Amino acid sequence: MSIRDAIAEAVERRHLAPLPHFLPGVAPVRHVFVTSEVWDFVGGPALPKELAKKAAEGRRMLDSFTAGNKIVVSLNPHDKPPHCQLSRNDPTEEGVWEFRIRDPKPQVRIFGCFAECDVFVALSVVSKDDLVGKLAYPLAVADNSSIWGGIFPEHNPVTGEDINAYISGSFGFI
Amino acid sequence: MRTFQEASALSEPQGDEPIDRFTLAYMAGLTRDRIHEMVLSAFIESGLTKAALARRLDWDKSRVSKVINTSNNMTLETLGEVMFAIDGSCPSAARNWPLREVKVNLREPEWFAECMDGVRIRTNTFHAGISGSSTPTTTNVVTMRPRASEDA
Repeated sequence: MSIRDAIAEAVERRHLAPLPHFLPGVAPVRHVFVTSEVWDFVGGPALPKELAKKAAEGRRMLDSFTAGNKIVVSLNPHDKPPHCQLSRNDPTEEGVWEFRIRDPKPQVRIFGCFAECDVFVALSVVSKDDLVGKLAYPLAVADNSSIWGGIFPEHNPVTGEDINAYISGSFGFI
Repeated sequence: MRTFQEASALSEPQGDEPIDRFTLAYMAGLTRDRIHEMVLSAFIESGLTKAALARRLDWDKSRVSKVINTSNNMTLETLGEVMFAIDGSCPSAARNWPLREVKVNLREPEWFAECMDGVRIRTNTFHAGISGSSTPTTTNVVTMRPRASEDA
């Protein structure tokens, strides 16, 4: 079974859902699939006021990826621009990335993995306040690897040092 | 069973009903995104380095990095300075109505269509917008169709 078939099956089993762009006229260039946890966060307006702005930022960031906009990406978890939008996490061989929602505070991270080039599977949402200490990120990566393994037991996420294996077309790699 | 149902359809403002905060924040962020896309594209096309741009503006390089790397909430005056410093241009304002655009075909590419077979896109007729237009369009409400076993 290919990873595409596995995604289709995960959608059929309702472990994942494709995340359409919030605006109706935007043609998807890349694709995002989300777990119900991520959907509950970025899925729309039915959120408490204190979360709405943060969630809208998260949705906008995922939509920006879907629309093929230029985004700032870093492969190096330890040396990235402070305002990098999409970053790979350590241990890098796990292939777990994060969308970094820096405003409003406290910051939020949407963790996920690339199923193939331009196909991001968003797995979980974590407040940056909960990512404190040396072990926080390795544990978060392990958690998300576990979620990935539960959805795709026969497939590993994309790994490696070639940025073009993750994202094609226009991206800012600064 | 958890579902993936969107809370409500996105529509243009009508009357004096308050707009939810999610939508307002999304549209504000979208505007920042568009400005950032313009700045980043101009910067890349110019071939400038961030250090060179910082010297032109007499800024710290970190301030330039923030403007180039993020869709931050810069002032209009800062935008004017940055764009002129990059390539001598002056941005002009334009607007569009994203909810009036025709809904795109979400069933491309082909393999994605298979994924979408379990998803029903519900279309809606949009109410008259703030300009009085009544052009029908669609909303992006997505609901998950019950599995075959649940249909039975």
